[in-house]
Amino acid sequence: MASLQNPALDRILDFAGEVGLAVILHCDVDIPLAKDVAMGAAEPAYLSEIKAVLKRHPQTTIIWAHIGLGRLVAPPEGYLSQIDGILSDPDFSNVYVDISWDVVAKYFVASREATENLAAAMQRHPGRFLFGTDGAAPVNESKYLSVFNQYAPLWKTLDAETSRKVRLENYERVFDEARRRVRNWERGHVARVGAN
Amino acid sequence: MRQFHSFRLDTVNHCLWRGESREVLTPKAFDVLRYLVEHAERLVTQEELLEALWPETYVNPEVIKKYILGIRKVLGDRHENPEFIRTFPRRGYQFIAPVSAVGAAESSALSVSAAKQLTIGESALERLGGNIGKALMSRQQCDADDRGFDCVRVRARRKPGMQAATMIGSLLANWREARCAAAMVFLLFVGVAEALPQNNDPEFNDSHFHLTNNIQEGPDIREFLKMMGNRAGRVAIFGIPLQQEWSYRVDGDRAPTYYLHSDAPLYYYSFTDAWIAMAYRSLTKEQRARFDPMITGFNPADMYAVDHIRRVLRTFPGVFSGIGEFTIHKEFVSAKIPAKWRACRIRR
Repeated sequence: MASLQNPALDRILDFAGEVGLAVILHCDVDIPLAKDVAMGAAEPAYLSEIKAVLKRHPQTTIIWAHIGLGRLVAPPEGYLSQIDGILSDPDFSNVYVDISWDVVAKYFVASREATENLAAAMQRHPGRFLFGTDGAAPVNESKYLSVFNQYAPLWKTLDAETSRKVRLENYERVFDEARRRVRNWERGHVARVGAN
Repeated sequence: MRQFHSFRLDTVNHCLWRGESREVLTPKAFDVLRYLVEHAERLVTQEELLEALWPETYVNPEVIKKYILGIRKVLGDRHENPEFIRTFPRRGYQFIAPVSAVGAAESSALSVSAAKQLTIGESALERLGGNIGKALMSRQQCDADDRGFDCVRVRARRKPGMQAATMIGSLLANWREARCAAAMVFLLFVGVAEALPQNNDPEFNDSHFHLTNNIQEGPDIREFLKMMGNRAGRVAIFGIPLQQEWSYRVDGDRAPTYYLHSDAPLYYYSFTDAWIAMAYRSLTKEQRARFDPMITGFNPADMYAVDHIRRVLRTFPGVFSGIGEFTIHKEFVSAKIPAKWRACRIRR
């Protein structure tokens, strides 16, 4: 099982760093339903391996999708402090997290405390969280906008500046830089098409 | 909308205002100015400008000089003692004037004022519509001695996001209470204002979006643009690399569309990247600017995965911004990938 130590992943992340490709990596931080099956575990099953892989590629911009949570991976006890630890560590300055997916939004709007804890983490690291929907083939506008609307309690809790960064500006910074670097790489590695 | 000295850079309507008059700038000159303003207070190299504004195209760097010259002329700037753009010979340019952001309400008022200027002119409006134009511009109720316009004027206070159709409906409902000629002029006015792009700043950019599902179906990208409307600005867009197999042996006639709908395995479906690239390329330049396509159709446990990524970049230059979403551990997904393809743990 499992794969964060597979050199194939290192090759991918090295290449992304060389080209300037932004990376969106999905990796559950824990085994499914860990709360039920791994009571008392010191930390989520994959946390140390994830940290190791993020640290091995400091030149690569990596967005850790869903802050490592998922359908069967609820935030473990004190999880946001562990995320806080990563985002505070200069060795992880290449790392961002996204709060996409309706199942993830559910965790953070389940109670006022959960929303406030997330807002506090964001306000400590306003440049490092990105909003995303994780929409998949939506059938209409209301379906597409549902995750953004689901986070309404968060948007009300955040200070205006952090909210703007999470909703808009962090995306622009990460992806503007990616566009610029990838186009630059292509100039040197792809036969030029078109002129003037 | 950005302001510097008496100028406003209207990034929604792509124009430059000095006070209330519109300055003439070619679209490319506008892009150059905008790029410099948005990266004010740092040196922007010629190479960076070329990469940002002429991707995929070879352009003689001398061209930038020409645009800078044109912009300086419009701004009334001087090369030797610049107020706006400082030149660093052979290196690049820096926008040096203090830049501030202007609020949406203020800038929206400006587009309405622009509409007024472009259509019937202030004096005509004043004559025909009394205070309607002013009310529209300021969104504040004006004092008026002409009681006949009260109703129209109140309706004319357009709220952000209110559609012209709604306003026209209100006006028509009050048609009898308004003077016919003035109301007609007003409708024309609203129509023109509506034809201009509205300054509705997006509420969010979406860093994580799959245009397709587990069987590579999804909306046409233009349909999706409609769903984004004004609320979503930019979207990191990708397919789903893991295709759900429809195994007749497992599911019979029940066609699964989601990874949780079937016990049949998932497999890597690289064509999803070509699909996304072609969808992106089918868009206009302005529409493309709203997307950051991502490469995702590779098996992250395969030492050859980087070759796929490189191949996609070379096949579709100018398209992709990143890679992902790709998955290492994910509840049932990991178990549904046949064991021989699964990334296995290697102790080093």
